Amino acid sequence: MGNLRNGIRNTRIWLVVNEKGYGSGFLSSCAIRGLLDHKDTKFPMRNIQGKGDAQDRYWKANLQWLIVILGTWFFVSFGCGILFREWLDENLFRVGTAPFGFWMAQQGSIISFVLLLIAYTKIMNGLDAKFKVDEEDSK
Amino acid sequence: MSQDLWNYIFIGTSFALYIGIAFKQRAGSTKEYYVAGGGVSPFANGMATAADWMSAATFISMAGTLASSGYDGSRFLMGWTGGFVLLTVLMVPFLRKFGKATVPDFIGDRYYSKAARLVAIVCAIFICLTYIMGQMRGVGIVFSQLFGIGIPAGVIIGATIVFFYAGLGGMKGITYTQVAQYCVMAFAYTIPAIFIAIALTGDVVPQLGLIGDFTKGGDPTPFLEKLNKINTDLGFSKYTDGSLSKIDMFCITAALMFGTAGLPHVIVRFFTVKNVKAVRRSACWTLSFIAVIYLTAPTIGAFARVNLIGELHDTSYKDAPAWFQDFEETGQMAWIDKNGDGKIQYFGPGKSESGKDGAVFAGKAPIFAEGVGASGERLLTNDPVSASPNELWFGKDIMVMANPRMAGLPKWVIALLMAGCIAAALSTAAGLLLVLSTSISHDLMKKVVKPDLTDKEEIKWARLASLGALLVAVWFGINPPGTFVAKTVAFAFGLAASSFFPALLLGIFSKGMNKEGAIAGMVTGILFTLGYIIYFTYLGGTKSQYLWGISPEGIGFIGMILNFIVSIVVSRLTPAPPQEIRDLVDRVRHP
Repeated sequence: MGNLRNGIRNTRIWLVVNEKGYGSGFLSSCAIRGLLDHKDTKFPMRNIQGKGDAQDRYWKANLQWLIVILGTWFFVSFGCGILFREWLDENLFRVGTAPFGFWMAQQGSIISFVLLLIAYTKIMNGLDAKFKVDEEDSK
Repeated sequence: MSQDLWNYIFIGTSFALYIGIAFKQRAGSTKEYYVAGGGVSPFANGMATAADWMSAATFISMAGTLASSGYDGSRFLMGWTGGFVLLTVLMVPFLRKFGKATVPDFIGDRYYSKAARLVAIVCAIFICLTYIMGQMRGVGIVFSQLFGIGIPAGVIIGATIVFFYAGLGGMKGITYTQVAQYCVMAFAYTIPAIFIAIALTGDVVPQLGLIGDFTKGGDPTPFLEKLNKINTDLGFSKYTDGSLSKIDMFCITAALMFGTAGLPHVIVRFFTVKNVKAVRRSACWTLSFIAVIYLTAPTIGAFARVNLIGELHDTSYKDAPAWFQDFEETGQMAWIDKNGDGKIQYFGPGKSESGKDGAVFAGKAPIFAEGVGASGERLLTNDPVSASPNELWFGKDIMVMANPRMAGLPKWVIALLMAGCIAAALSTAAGLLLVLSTSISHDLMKKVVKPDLTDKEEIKWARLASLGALLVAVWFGINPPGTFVAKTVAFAFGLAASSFFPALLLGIFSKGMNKEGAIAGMVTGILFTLGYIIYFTYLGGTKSQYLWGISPEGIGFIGMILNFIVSIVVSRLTPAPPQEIRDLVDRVRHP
């Protein structure tokens, strides 16, 4: 069902694009788009309809949060556990009796990952609700 | 009661439970067969995925790796759990929205090409097969020790059980069986650790042992300091330092992470819940359940190391505890009296910078000779490494099993461990078998060979395919091609990272990615990684020839970067993908 709905939505956008004479612009954007990925927010057809615009803002917000989450992910594992481990072992506080960097590598990163996923779930479900893109419960 | 009786009781009961569940929940339709009808609760799915995730290798040998290599073992802890984070945030919700049941399905549709679909099918089959071989071998080893039968008979018994509930029950049967298996695994892993934690640290929570004090006999000393103290002299690295170079550590961890994020049998798990919201919740549960066991592993490793050194280091062979002789008898521990003082010396791994790698003897495993040495020990034919004062060798797989014996725990705890180990192997093997049979029946037969296949015929093909795959797995489980199986299991991650991960990621996050780019990238990535692995593993490449000091274990990360570069460059030079595909990507991005 979802596919059909989306199909209809896309056809509608396409018709609107043609009526407003964006057809040629659309095609050339198609050719450029291979070079400029992710720049499709500037795509004219997107801004014609409120829905497409909301979808773009949803996707942008999605990407921004993903960058924050993956940044944290990199910092707690590769950063604390590998790249700066020695420095952290020597200079930072101990966790219980364990040196900080070593502890991050063996236990801290895993705890951070669990918290990170919980935060991710909260944020993304929040975004879905805000942009009203909640998937219905039936398939 | 004897140990055997306890083993039979625990394993017999757990088997009755698994088969009972599988029978009750057996699949009736293709949808139930592939994705359990799509209505499993996030909590139950989380538990089942955790069981699927933790293979026999994780369950048995991770703690042993930590015990023998200290900090270096963190690469598995971070690599596998961190990979799960990537899988959850970058892959699963989008693939779920796409709405098809398998990874080759996504690649085939997204890259509008039969060639891409075929490459993906081959990769999926290869990854799953190498994995399942390792599992069958693991099951075989446990069974053979249990019943005193040969490994082949053990492998066949294990395979029959897996076929029964995976082949007949489909995803629905497997999911509910795995819930039970996770419970068995969690108990089996933590209960012995609790006993040991009380004995060594006076603390009930084993996960805290690593950051606590060692209190057994005398004043409390920080646990890790006790572990470090023994090997600071003599150029040995500290337990908290490890011996891998930073770049190698980085690349191996990265290869494990990105490889994990491309594993087809875990991705498919998330098709069994209702919607994207439930997928995210389910992933949280899965990682929490995994964390229960992964947070215990470093402590078990450290406990095992303390016990091992405490009981054996500088102890004369004649006074060594009885379990040492038992493990020596089965070839899982060995001792070479290098300095002829009749005492066992063990310091730990060496520092790679100092040129010592702490190896006891040449070769990977001990080869026992006939006869006994001066103190009554089993003699080895391996050449001793004289530069290293280590005299004790132990197989990494036995640490989890040996720990309760070293700590003198009751017999039922050991029986519980055995049941846990079998649960770990069976749950992973069943999940893999399902993906394999789906790849063949759905992706290959229905999508490529014979599109007019009916539902009923498809399930028949799936069951036939799982039988075929199992026969192959049994054959390789009984006749492992040298060290091939164990190695490819580790390398499978590198191969998954360098082939699947970029194709999936770019397929979702770059609308401009076309079939030419994806296929060129996958082929380059997998050929480069495979070539590097084969050169250094089979064609006699030496450590000094490593590219930037990166071992074959970690080269998948470089292969992945190559894949990304090739994919992007090629896709910019070839025609952009058609409009339907970009609509498809749009649809995948929005629920």
